[in-house]
Amino acid sequence: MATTIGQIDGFLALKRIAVVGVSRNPKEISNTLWQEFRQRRYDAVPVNPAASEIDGKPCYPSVRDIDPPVEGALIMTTAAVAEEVVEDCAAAGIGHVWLYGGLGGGATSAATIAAAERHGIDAIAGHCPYMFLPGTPVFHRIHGVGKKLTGSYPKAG
Amino acid sequence: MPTAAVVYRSATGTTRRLAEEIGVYLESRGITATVQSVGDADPASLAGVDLVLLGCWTSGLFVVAQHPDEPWMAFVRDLPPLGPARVGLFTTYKLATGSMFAKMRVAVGSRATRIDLELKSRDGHLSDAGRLALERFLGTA
Repeated sequence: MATTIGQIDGFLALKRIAVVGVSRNPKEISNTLWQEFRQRRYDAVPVNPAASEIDGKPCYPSVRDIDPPVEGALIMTTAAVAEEVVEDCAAAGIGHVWLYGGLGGGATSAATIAAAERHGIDAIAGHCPYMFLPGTPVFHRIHGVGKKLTGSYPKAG
Repeated sequence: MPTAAVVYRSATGTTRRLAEEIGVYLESRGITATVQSVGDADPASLAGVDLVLLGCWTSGLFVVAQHPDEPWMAFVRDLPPLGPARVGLFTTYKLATGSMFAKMRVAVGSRATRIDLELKSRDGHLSDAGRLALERFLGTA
């Protein structure tokens, strides 16, 4: 399943999203990305079963517990956990997931993609939102250029 | 007691650190300071605040085309007229601030009667020069 720019634009057009796997450490990428979405005025809800609040914001143990529900979920867990998170997203009626693509594959695996397809969830497999948010620091844009050069950048559609 | 709103846009946490240090400094000078990101702050809530400090990381291509990024610009576009509030700007940067402050001033435009402070920091810490600039801004130097 190849991710398209249309899918990414669609995800970024959502207003209320969960960020699953947000670390309490402000230097971790999951935390900085959650902060980035917040500063861009997304209603970004943190999910981490090991935390009741992060940076003063209520944190939920699962996307199933978020009320009112979110429209999409950025999943930043390991792939081993991500499949269960996708199942939780299906149970919560979430129609869009972004399987964050970090080193070693991030949340993306054949099993997580298959789980999303099984439930009819629109899934972005891999990639980092920083590459697609407008006006991010130059190294994120360089990352995108590198992906274009290697042919792994999402195609139009 | 005078009130201050310190509103920041931070990409990596450096500008947030500077905003928090500014907030602590203002509190030490007897000012009630609220420090919030552009995502958390309500632009309308800045009307009636005595001191407004707006900060953003320096975006650009190393040493050219420095500018505040879109989340900061979006926040500023929603600001009400700030009336008699004293307004200051701050930024963090790697190599040079270049046209950063000039572009921030243009963005704030007529919402501020005047802008009395331009404060910059490489590492997000408030330097002695930064404290002196804040003292001047407060009119107590």
